[in-house]
Amino acid sequence: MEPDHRDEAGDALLRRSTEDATAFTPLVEQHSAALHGYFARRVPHAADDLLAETWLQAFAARRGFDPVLGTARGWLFGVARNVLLLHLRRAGRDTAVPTPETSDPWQAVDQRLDAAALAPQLRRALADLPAEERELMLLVAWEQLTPSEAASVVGIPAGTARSRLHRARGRMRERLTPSWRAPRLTVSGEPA
Amino acid sequence: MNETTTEYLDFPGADTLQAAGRVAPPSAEVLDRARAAVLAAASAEQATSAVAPARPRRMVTGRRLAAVFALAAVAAGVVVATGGEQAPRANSLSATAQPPQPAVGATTFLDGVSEVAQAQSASTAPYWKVQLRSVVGGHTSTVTEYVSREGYVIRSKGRTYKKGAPSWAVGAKLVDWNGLDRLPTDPATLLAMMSAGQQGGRDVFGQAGNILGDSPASPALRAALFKALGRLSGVKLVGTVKDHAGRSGTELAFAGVNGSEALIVDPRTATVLEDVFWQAGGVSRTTYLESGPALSID
Repeated sequence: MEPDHRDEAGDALLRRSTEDATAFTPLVEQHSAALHGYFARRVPHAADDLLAETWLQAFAARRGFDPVLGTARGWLFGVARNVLLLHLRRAGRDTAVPTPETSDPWQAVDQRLDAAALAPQLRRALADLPAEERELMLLVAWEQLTPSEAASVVGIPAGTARSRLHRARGRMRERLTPSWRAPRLTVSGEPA
Repeated sequence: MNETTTEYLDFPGADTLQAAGRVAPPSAEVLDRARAAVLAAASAEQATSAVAPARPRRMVTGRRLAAVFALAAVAAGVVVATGGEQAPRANSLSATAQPPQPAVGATTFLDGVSEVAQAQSASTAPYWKVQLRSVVGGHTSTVTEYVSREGYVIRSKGRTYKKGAPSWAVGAKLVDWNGLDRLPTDPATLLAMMSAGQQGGRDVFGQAGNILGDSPASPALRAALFKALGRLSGVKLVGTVKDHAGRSGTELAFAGVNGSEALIVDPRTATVLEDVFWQAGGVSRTTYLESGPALSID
């Protein structure tokens, strides 16, 4: 996975923090707003708690960061995603029979889009994307991660993420371009 | 190569979507709490010292390819070396362009490919292995995917990724491997299903390309998909070409309002060799180097 748009200072801090724990603290200042936003968009009621939990998890796992494999920012969002999924699984276990939604915050996101009066057509187009494509799309659109960073967050190769984002963009365009008309089909088997 | 996020957000409503994601920044108290948590953890570590582990994995493979039918020279045409990423030969990328009139040969050709697929043996292997090379935005990557009914494993650059069950778009629905098994194998019914619920329209050609390219679809379903493609208005038979792996195949093209797509099909094996998708501002190409059942994961 080729790193890009590197925040070399952030990467260096995270690396250095393995030997010097105080080097970790500036990362909290630098990335808290973005990480909190990630949670606030998906589980607003739990965002404050999950932010603190993310930093604890990230600190404990910081030796697992490898700058060759991605950026500090992508890595931190990956930790945040794990914290989010664990939270959703716990919530699902506590409240109902676990469903796919317990590992996909789409329902909460959709409620957010509803509250934001997002055009129904846009919501439907997002809802119809495969979950992984949708997650990548939102990581790029909302968290402003690069495709490579989004790939590391979701846990897929960067090239796979780019392919899916490209495909997702095509689907969104098809769904949202007013002039689109469905391909005509014929009964006889011969094209119309 | 630096990447931009904007190229993937070039669709109507993207600005609205981004605006809907705006949230208030965390309060000073929340930041204090996060900072205090880290400081406390750092202090605790000075006393103990703990390290978090990472997770390793391995895989192996098996492969099957059937070729039982040699098509007549329906697809005979100009051999085109696809050495560079160019605009689709058969289509216009103009946003106002109408889909091309269907070529007479496409239906006949695809019916022949369908017969090849139909004659192949169904597999009971637990995995479906796909090795593909993708090029998107100038980035090239080669990955190996092992699909199972529970999830899939991706291997790339010596790393292994494990994911939940993959899904493929069929009309307004997403189906997993079990869902593929339940799809109708009557071409007309399948085509109607793929076209259904598309008020904005998901590309039927693209759906079929995805399923044929990297899914464990049964021979009967693959046969139905090829026949369905032959009944889709706008599909054009381009001719014999070479894919980016140097293999000879027959190119089929489809032009939509927002982009064009081409599939290179090997008519002898009824497999998709390459899928190229042109959109304004970007081209993605997937070359399927290998696709077939596998008994195990390495």
